[in-house]
Amino acid sequence: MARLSEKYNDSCIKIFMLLKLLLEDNAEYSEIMNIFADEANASTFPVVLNKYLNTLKIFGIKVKKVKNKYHLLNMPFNIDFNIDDIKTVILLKSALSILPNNKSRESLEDFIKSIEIRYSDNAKNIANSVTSSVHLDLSFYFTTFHDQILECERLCTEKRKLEITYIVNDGENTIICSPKEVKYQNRKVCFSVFNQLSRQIFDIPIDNIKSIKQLPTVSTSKDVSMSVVFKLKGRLAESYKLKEWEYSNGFDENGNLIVINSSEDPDALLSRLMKYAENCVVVTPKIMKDRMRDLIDKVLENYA
Amino acid sequence: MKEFMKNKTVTYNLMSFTGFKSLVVFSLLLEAPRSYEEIAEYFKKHEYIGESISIDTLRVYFTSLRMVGCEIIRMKKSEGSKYKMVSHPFELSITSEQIKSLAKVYKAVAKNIELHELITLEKFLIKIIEKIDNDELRTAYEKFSLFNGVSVELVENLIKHSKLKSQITFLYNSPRSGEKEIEIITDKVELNNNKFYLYGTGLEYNQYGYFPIARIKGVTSVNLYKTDISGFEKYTVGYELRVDKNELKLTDEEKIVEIKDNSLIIENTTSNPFIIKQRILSFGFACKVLYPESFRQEIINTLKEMREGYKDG
Repeated sequence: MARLSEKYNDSCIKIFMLLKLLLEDNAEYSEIMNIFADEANASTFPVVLNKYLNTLKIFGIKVKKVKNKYHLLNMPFNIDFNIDDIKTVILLKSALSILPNNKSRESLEDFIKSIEIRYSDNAKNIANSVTSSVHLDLSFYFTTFHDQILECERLCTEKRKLEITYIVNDGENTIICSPKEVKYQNRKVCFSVFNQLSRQIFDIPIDNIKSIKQLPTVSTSKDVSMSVVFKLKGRLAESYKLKEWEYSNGFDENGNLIVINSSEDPDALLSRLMKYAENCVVVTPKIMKDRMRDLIDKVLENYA
Repeated sequence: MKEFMKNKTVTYNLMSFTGFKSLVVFSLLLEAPRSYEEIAEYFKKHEYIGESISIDTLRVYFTSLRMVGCEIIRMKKSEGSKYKMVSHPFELSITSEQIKSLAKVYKAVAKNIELHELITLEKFLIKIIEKIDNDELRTAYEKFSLFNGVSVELVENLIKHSKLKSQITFLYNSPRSGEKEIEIITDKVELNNNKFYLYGTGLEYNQYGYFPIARIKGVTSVNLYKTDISGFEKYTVGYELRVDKNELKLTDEEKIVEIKDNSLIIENTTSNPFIIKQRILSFGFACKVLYPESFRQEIINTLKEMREGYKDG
């Protein structure tokens, strides 16, 4: 005879297994049958299932059958979500459109669903009433660049090398690169790519891209970005907060902060460093040092 | 119980009472740790159950709940020997794939929404992180959140003050002089280059300026009477900018005074020329200062000084 503490209750286990299946949204008729296989056959199963569904219903758990699958409409164990939380969930739902239409979007959809299912009745009422007042305007991305975004997402998935021609500073530039991701920044969509030759990340505005040719080769080596080293002087050296993609080896003998930067678009980096004026000097590599010097010369030409 | 269910048209044999009771036990422990006495009392008073439960039967329920993945412990005697649910399989959870997608959506959304919406999003994420208790999510959040190292409540508080244009004093951790109090008339909070800044007119130098909020330790006082800043010296700088008008986001201090074929003439008025200088330099060769001559000369001198840093090349 089993010790008392080892005794278990079959109905308790079955109802929680059913609840688990419902929560995972895997409650196919056949899956549920497996739980009750020991006490019901095909003909008695509907009665047994009904008994457990009634139990859930009396406890306050609503279940809906669609075709051959049961879906959980609420959870008895809610999380206290307020109106701001619900607005945020709606915002996240509208933002799903920026994810490529693949499993990453599906997985986030599932996560949001798992949050919504934990809404209390009050939260559900709020959700129904605020839906129309929350709108994240991402439409400008898609009305103009819908096809280009989808194409770039496809190229990212396929990972083959690309030859991209794009407009830059009134001219055209062509690079061989590997696709990285589509970036959404301040109402601008950029195709972020890695150029193996210069070992730099380029964030190319999608509307500046003239052509993309997919090459047969797949980039096999790990894309290691070129590091740009710059030094910061004076008060800036003391107050500078390193970016996520930067690190520092400390100060040189003159009290200048040495910063090592990688993975920042070179144009964006130069524009940022220009702001630091005489308190910043690019140290290496030579190509970036030359670009910074040429940029300063070009600005000076404005005043010649 | 049997009678009650019959009266309510749900008959005894059409539901699992044991299953129902196990749900009740589960939800009781979910709310808070409970003693045997508390659970028994609850059972007795429950409108459907209406009868007590023996300690042995309760243990059988606990064993069953453990078998479906619940972790139930008995607390110390000093803590009332209550039963506590440490974890259960119905907790909100998140996968690695979902964390990656959440990070991607956050990055895209954060810069396309208003600051108050960003604060709401942040509070929601903090709540979710507390509920889920997943190290991978916490680490990812610390990496992608724009609030890393900045208190959401402080930003919210500073936004409130800025809306009222309050005169406040805050404790600032200056990289140069250490902690010091700064008094300003607040103007706005902005997110620039992934960092939050408080803008306002500083009363030490009578100048408009900005402070990274990451260095603000807290608001120490709010002045009921505002200093009159209308007499503070202001500078107006005019510059020509070769940029697509639709792509340019003007600051609050800028206004377009002329639209030319390929450029815009912009005027920027502030009490702090340093802010204008930074703005102009960031535009690179697309920008040329037109007036006043003193500021134009200052920009040329700065550029020459910058060029000095590259005299070897």
